[in-house]
Amino acid sequence: MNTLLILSLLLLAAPPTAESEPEQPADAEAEQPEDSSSDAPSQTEPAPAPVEADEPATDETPATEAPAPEAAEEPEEAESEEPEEPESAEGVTTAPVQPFVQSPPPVKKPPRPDRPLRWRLDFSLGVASTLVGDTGYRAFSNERSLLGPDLGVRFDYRLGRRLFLGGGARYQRFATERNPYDGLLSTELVVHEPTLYARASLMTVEGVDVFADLGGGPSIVLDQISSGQSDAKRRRTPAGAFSAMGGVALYLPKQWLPGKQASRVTAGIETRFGYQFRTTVDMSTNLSLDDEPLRTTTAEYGDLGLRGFAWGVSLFIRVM
Amino acid sequence: MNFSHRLTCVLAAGLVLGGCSEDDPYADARELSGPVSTHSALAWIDQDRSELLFVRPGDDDIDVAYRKVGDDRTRVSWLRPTLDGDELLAMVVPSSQKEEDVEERLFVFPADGSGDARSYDVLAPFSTVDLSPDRRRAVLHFGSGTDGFGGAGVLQNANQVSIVTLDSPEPPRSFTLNGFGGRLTRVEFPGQTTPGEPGLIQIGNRLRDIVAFLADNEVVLVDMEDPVANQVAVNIGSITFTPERTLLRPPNDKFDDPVLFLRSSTSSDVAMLTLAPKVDDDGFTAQVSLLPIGTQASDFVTHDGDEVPYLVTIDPAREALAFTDIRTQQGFGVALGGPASRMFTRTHESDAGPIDQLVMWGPGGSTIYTLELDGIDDALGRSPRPLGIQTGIEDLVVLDNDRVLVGSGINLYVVDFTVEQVTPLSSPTAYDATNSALEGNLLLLGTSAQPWISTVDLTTLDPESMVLDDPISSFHYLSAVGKVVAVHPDPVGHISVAQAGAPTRSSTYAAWGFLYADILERN
Repeated sequence: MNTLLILSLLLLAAPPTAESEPEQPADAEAEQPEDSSSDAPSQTEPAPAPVEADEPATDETPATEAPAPEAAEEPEEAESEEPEEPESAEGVTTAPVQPFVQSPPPVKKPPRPDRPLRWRLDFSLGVASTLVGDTGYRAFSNERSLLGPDLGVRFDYRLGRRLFLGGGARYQRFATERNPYDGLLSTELVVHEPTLYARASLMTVEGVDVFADLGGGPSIVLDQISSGQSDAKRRRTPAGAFSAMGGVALYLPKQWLPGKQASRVTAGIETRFGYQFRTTVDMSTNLSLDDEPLRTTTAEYGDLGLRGFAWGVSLFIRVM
Repeated sequence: MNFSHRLTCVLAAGLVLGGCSEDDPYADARELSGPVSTHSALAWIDQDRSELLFVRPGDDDIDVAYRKVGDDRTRVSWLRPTLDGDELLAMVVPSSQKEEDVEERLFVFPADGSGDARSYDVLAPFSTVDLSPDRRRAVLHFGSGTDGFGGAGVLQNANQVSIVTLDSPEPPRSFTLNGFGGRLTRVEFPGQTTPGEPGLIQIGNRLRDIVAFLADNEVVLVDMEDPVANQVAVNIGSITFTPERTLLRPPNDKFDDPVLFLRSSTSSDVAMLTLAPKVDDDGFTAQVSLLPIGTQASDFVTHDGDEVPYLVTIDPAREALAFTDIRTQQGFGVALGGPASRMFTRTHESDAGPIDQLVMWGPGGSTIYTLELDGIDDALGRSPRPLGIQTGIEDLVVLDNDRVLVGSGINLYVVDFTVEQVTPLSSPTAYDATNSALEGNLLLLGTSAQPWISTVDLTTLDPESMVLDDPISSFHYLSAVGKVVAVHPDPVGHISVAQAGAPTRSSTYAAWGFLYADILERN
């Protein structure tokens, strides 16, 4: 009977287990510091030994007079706190009650605070094309379009409720080849085009931007025109490129993202249309000649202007 | 319509236009043909653009000029320079038989394409042109074939001709030969023996410029100067006589009337047409007789002896010359001692002064014969002097009065008749003697399929050669600008231009791709 009473008292005195703890509200969890779990030592871990306990005793201080270290007293205290084995009146020893160790509550990463949209940094990859109006371009391509990959990065800053201003850089590469005149000639054209541009973007609703950009930069044109009986080397000709584009960018709004308003990264697709102007390039042939050749002149084929209606589609990842 | 709607329409229109197919000017091969050379330029026909492309070589680079000829409903049938290279003739005909109301015209361009072209309505798509040596006229006809016709089933008048006076804007004189039914095979200008000089024939009291139209068993004579004069059609007779060449003997004190000889290689006679004025009108007529000359005549010339007017024929079968008195048909022969079928006369400087000398040769032979004609009727037994060509004769080109060039495989021979010297020139590759030109005393050679331009100084007989970067497909001498042009076999246009007076690699340049110049601008 006494044993049952003692057990009942111990159970009442014991702290509640983790399973039995009621869930704390999220707000309460949020109030906890993020690093509280890492900083709080577990009660199951042994207490750190006092520094003095490891230091050797000096002759001036007799060991017997040395005060007992506090940590050395803890086991004693623990021992003193250990429940004494109950002894029955008849002298029967009952089973010892294990001490209850309280486990720490699970730690959840607190949600980040809302992040106001002040700037955006986009990394894009897509395709770009120019519908070349110069008929002479058909000597280099079976189609009128100049198509190639487009790689870019841009940054804009929020200036108003919906307006963003910024700029970026993109690199485009176009390549085409053809055998015009029923294979009599062999032509090849490669264009490398790094572009810097300024951009204004209007966020109609979050997730839908309309934008316009103005850009320019060098256009490096590599061309090669040869015949079946004469080899030619590639020529490298610098030109200038200017563009005026406008379009729509669709991207995932914050409320669709897991982090809600605290999200820092989103992604989207952008399509743009406009006009691409490139300065004309004089086309000719750089013949590959034998050693000590006769002085040789080659024909001028005329100017090539790779300009016209342009469009592009790209996927982008946005950091904001 | 607000701005967004307009923008949408513009973008949609751009996309639609971008997707539309359009004519591709670079898909098909261009129809280019040529070149032919004048004295200062090379010319190609560009049928796609209906124009001529003139390439004018300068000292350092070429200049390309385009000249429109006809339109998209026409095509250039043929291109031919005048004999002196001063002008270029282009015959323009309908591009197909489905084209109607398109006039056939002869265009005459300046040699280098500069300046305006003249054109003449010639009524028919003539396929052949013969140019008078006096450089004044072009006679258009259909030749012996149907060249220039776009398809079978086209009806043509084989004896329709057109005489174009090149130095006059007057319309051409077009007519049908009033003959005996034989098809026109050849046109000759018998009176014009000296290039650039008029060749008028005195018939009665009128000077006439005679053109002879040769057909099987007949000849038709026409005075090119007199459009109202009658055509004189002469039937050779019932014998098989295909006239091949004509030879005119002007009247002189040894024979009063002008005589036109007709030679046929299949006949043992030479037809002798004595030209005389008509009695009843202002025309002229011809009296035909046959002159027996042995077995055959492969070539002929006239020679006046001291007393006798001779017709000299060469008989390849008998390997002999035949001297025939055209008055009495009597004559004598001179044995050659070897095969010969061709001959010409030159003036030889002898100790007694200039005399006429006959030079005889023949393809396949190995000897050139010369025979002085002074006092020939009193020098019976005179025999020709031989000049041996060791490796045989393939072709002979008369360079000037004193020198000829003989082609013989990989050997060339320069023969100097003044000192009777034969100089062999040899090379590892065969030379074509016909691809040669004479710039002063410098013989220029540029044979096809090899990359060499060679020169021979005819005063020292010192040959020199210059190698080009590519083999030659055709060789042209542009006398007015002092250039030789070697055309190389690249369809985009590839030539090498050298100075004719002293061709060296340092002064020679090449031009490439000019046939396709401006393709991005003119598409």
